[in-house]
Amino acid sequence: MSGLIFKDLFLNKKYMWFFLFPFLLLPGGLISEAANGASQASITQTIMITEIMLMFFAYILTTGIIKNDERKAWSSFIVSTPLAARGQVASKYYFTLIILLAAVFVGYIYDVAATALTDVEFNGLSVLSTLFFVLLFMLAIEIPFSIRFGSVNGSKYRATIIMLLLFAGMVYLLFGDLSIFGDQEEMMNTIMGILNGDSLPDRLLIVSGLFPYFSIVMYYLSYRLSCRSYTKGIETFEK
Amino acid sequence: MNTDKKLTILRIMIFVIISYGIIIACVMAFGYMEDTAAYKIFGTFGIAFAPAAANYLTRLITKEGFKDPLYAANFRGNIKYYILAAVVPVIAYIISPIIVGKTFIEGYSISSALNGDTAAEFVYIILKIVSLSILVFPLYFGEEYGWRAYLTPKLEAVMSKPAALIVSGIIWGIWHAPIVYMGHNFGTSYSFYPWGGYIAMSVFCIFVGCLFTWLTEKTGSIYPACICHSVHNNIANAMLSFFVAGSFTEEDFLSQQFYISITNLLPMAVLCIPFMILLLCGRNKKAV
Repeated sequence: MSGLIFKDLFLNKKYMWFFLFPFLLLPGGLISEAANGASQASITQTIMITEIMLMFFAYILTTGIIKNDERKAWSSFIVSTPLAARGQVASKYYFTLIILLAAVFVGYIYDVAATALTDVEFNGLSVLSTLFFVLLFMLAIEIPFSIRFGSVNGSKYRATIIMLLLFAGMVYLLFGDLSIFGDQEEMMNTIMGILNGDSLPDRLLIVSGLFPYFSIVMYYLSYRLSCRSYTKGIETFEK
Repeated sequence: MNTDKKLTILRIMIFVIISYGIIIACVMAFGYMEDTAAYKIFGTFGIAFAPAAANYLTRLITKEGFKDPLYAANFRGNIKYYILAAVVPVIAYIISPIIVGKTFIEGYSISSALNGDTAAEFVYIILKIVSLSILVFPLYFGEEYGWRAYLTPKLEAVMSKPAALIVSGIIWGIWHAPIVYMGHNFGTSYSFYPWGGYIAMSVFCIFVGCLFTWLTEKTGSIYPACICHSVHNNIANAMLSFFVAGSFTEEDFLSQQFYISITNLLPMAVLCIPFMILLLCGRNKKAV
């Protein structure tokens, strides 16, 4: 297993420098910004944007993990070893998780460094954790498609299904029964309140607290699903 | 004493000297400039990763090699231990602040301490802290990869298990001495400063060390211990501030910080006792 994870690291090593980019921006961007007397809001915004970009790069990197390893001969070989499809799929899920965790860790160090150097109070960990669990949730949906249908066809199928779901949702919102959402005026007031910085209503607070755990469960279920479809997926690889 | 035993003792000594050396160096170099960028970056990370660095350096110096079975996550069949690692500190630190409140604050009641916060907010805070702690567990890899993956198995090889657990707890506790001296855990305004702090930390580390060792032995991985350590460190102060901080003036808190901290740690230590018994009565899942 660790051999397969190292193989993934080797295949993607040229993209690893992405993790250094926040620190490259630090001296030129943030420190000079602070030295030139930029407002606290502006510095906070720069820190937040850098962290979002870091997580975005990590996401781009994770999408390449399966694409870079789509070879029929190799995949057929690995399935015939004692590790089997389960080992190969697990290595992809572990490596994806390692990349995301590394991005959070780098983001956290950057956050500590940036806030300490600029004397601005900002808790970037909250932003990083939200992004981490959202990306984990997205990857939980994305990876099984890429494994079953190949990365090119997988992304087409995924986009089609998401579009269909959005369309169905839109049709329901236009013509369906909206009484299950309660009083619409109250709902709009709540949404406007949240946008204006009010705290979340109790039910939403619990849902947002549970979301990270839901993402973790989804990621695990996604792994189980991918294990079942990997062997069929090999046939769809182009190389 | 045979050669293997001598070599193990030598390795333990080198490990202890390096891990103590790094924390002392970090505190001496950056401790006086607390709240500065240098301390936050090099001091805290240097301290956090000192035991892991000591593990690597000891292996390098004594030519032991780097093969280590505890690297693997071993999720299969062990998910329950991962969940337990996150849940035990939560239970302890929900009980702790109530005991602190009842002991130190006259006429304390939970409803008044919540200060208008709802049950949903309380649940949300716990869920949020635990999820954040799971995310930052690599920070605690630094400690656990030293204490649980190296020191404890090495001590178990040269002495009985109960003795090894006590000695590793004391070594771990005393390792915190420089930061206890800085007033991080117990403040500085107690009559036995700093020795009372060193003793309290060592005793607490013996108890918590048993839980972390039990988790490590059961799963054959150090990650549950990392998660437990992370949740523990993050939730302890958060729950204390949620339940009782508003009831103390800063002066009151600082003057009683040592006793408040000890009372806050007490339920966690008590919760560790069953794991201590399990650890001492149970068979080793695997020899390390």
